[in-house]
Amino acid sequence: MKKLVLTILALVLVLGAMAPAASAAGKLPEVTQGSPYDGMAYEWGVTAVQVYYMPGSSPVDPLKCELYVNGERVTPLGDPVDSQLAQGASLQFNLPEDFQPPKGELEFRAVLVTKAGDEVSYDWTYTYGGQKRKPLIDFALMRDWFTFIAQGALVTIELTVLSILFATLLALLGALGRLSKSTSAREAWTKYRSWTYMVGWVGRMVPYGIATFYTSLFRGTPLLLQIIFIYLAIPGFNNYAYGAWGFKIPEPGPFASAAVALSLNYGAYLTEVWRAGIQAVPKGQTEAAWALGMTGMQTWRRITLPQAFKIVIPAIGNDFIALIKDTSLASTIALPELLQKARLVGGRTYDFLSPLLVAAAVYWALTIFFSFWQARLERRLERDTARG
Amino acid sequence: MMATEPRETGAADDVLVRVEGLHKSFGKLHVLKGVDFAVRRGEVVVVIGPSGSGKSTLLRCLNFLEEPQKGVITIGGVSVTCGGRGKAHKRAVRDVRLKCGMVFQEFNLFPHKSVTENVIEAPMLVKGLSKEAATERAFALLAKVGLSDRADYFPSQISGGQKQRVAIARALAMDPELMLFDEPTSALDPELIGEVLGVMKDLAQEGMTMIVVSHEMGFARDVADRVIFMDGGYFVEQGPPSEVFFHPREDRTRQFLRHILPEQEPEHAAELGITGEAEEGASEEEAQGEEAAEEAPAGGSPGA
Amino acid sequence: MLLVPTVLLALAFGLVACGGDEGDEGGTAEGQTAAEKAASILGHEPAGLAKIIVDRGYLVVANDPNYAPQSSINKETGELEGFDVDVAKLVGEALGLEIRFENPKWDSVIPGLQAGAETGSKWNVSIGSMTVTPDRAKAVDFTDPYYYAQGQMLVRQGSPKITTIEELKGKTIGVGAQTTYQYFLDAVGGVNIRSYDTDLDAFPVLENGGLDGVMTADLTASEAISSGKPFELSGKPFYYEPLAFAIAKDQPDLLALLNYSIKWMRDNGKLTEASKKWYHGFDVTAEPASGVPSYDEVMAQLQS
Ligand SMILES: Nc1ncnc2c1ncn2[C@@H]1O[C@H](COP(=O)(O)OP(=O)(O)O)[C@@H](O)[C@H]1O
Ligand SMILES: [Mg+2]
Repeated sequence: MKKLVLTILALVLVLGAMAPAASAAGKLPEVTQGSPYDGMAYEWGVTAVQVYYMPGSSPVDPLKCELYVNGERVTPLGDPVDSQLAQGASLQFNLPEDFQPPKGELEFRAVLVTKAGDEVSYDWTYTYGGQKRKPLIDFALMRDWFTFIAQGALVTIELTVLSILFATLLALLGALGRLSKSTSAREAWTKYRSWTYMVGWVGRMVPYGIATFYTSLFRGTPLLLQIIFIYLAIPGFNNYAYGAWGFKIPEPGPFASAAVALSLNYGAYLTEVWRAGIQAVPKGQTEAAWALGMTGMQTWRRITLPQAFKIVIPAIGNDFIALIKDTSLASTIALPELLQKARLVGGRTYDFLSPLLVAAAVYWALTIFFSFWQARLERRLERDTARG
Repeated sequence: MMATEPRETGAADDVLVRVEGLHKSFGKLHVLKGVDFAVRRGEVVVVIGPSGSGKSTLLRCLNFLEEPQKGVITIGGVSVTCGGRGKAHKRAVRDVRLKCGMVFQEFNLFPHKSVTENVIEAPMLVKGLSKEAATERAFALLAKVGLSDRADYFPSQISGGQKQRVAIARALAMDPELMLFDEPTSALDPELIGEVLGVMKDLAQEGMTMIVVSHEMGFARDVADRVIFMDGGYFVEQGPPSEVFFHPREDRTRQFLRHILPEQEPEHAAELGITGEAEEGASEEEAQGEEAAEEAPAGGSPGA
Repeated sequence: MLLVPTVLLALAFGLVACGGDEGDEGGTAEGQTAAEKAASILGHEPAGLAKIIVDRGYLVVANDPNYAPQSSINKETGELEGFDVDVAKLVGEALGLEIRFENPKWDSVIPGLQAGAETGSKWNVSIGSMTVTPDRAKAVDFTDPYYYAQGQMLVRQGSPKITTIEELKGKTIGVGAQTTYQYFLDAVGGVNIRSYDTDLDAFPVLENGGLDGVMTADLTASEAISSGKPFELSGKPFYYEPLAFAIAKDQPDLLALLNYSIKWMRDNGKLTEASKKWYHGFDVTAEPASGVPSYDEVMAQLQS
């Protein structure tokens, strides 16, 4: 009997001792990280403090949770927000508008209280830079990311220069094509009334036709479309060609795609510029050269082209500047040029204004730089403005 | 056809330029209606005629700046049958061009090149002269036209008269056998005309063969061996200046001179009785003139 | 029609641009080449795209550095960093391949995968937190999931939460174009959807009150809050989504190799390690506990 009593007593004791242990055995929330933390990719914006935790067996009661900064309790703006994440959860304390912590090391303490009444507290520190809310224009950010963004300027310049070179070449060919038609079919027929002449005339129409088709097509479709088309259509073509015929052509990456599209597009515009420029060289110049015994090619190279060049420089300069800016369209195919880099920084820092201002400034500087050289070139050629 | 040869002088090889049956039309506009003529070496021919009569076209046909439809042009032994195509034709055309120097009314200097560069450009490119050789020759020519001090100027920086003298030097730099002048002084202010005519006179005196379209009577009278009056696509009348100017046989020549002489040579105009009044037998000779014009290319040998 | 000139110029540029692209042979620490390693993993010689990749020794990974903490750029180095980037490097380690990153826009990832199916050009695999969806599975093949995320609503601090499908109706919600969030909202119907190049582009608009909410991955949303955006998570997520690598269709060997690499990094704990490093100490690589439906379940429910 005594034995029984003792046993029961022991049982009660053990159970009694175990009772709190049993309630404690219900898993407690486990905090994994508090934000802001040192090493964060961005300045803390002082709008919220987040506590990441693995929920325990009893859910957290946000209304009872508390936040302390440097030992002082912070009354959050509104109720703390508890959210379930893919794994774990986050508790978010929104901070009051007038909340301004001191600069330097901050000691945070979050106290999580479960519906069952259990408390878990978590301490962490964060070194605060003293900047409450991002300034409108964040010069620190601009400084930090300037090199990164400016590297994009190199790509932009490279793309511009390459494209203008190829565009000019294309434009010259295009202009020659456009100028190769001297007479209409009716005129040619009434003038010569010869079938053999007409066959030759048709032959001479071919470059004209190609050039006309080219300028019409590339001036008639959006540059952005052309860039995307080249970037995504050639691989598609290759894919088909490789499967069907077993070969592929080199595939342009983002840079080459943009360069090809810009060259073709600006080549089409510059074709018309060159055509007008070449036509603006007085006929007498060619005649004088011919009369001196120069061949067509010599006349073209030494007489017509240099004079046409002088005429088209202002227009080319304008297109050049437009091209500098249009390289930004390549950001749509993720070429890491100026705009794309600025956007990347925006994505990283959640601040688009400042990096975009940096990009704008660089674009502007580039165009001013090129305008300056254009003006100098024009002045250099100015000495022989008047007709000989 | 050989009968077209003016004056009795010399054998066939004395002839530098021979043009036979030259036809040129622009579309429906028939500008040269079968022109025949020849120019001896060293001869200075002045072509006059009303505006639009085809003087420029004639000159431009001679070095194929205009391609005539029909006819044969022979210059310095190179013969081109007009209307041809192909490589051989093109080469012949260039050979002809190399024999001719041309001076334009509008100068047509290359504005992007300095005076010297204008002169050395073609010799270097076409004849393959070294820059030094070409420049040396250019300086000599510029000295000859009196422009040594303008060698480094650009065309925009010199006067019209100077430009035209550069143009002459530029043409001479190619050592042409024949010089063509298309109204070289028409675009010049009156006070600048003299300097250009002076250079041309010198050139003529050195024995250069020249065909000059010009209405400068003084120049024609002093320098020309022959004056051709052109109208309506034909040579209406040709002969020594004294004949054509002061004893024109054709009424159309007379009518044309009536516009020109009183201004330039008032005393001779008076001598001729040309005072701007209508003259005797106009209507009668009008019809005859038309006929004469038809015959002119073939038969006209006014000096004989 | 753009093709002809395009192809010509592309040839010119392609030769320049692709000239230096010949990768050196990929080798592992044990001196085993990537090809040998692949053969031993597969139990046979790799074929198709897998062969092209192991032969040349590098794998081109598509990855958008606009999604911290999955992938973004490091301020000091400008290099890519993040969970997806670490995972890609682990793939390289597992297969003995060099990893090269391309950063196409999200909506060209799948076209690029398809485009490179035969030739291995563009990019070979997307390691960019792509949700496995039946629609996408028609265009690409997915590996086993490597982690899980949730479709979360992000709202301005203090504005009403949006946690039920009914609450979504009539709201203006920003999403990244061609994301599951967009597909989900499309299926819900009656939602005013604004799609942006990336989810991030929607944040400034939300901040200024131009949107009622932005739907994105829970951890992307939480990251925005940490950075000081005055947002809050809208509580309950709508669904969880398994995320996997995507490759061109019908490449069983490549798929097997990639699945091997995922298993490899799961088994040796490196995947979890990477997760804890980037996701606040969480292991997001395990399927979430019950309570939230999967994307497929939600969509099936919405479409019925
Ligand atoms: N390139 C051309 N095309 C059409 N008509 C022309 C051309 N050149 C000259 N003409 C015409 O031919 C005629 C003769 O011109 P031109 O030889 O310049 O006359 P001139 O020099 O005697 O004044 C004029 O009626 C002129 O309008
Ligand atoms: Mg004339």
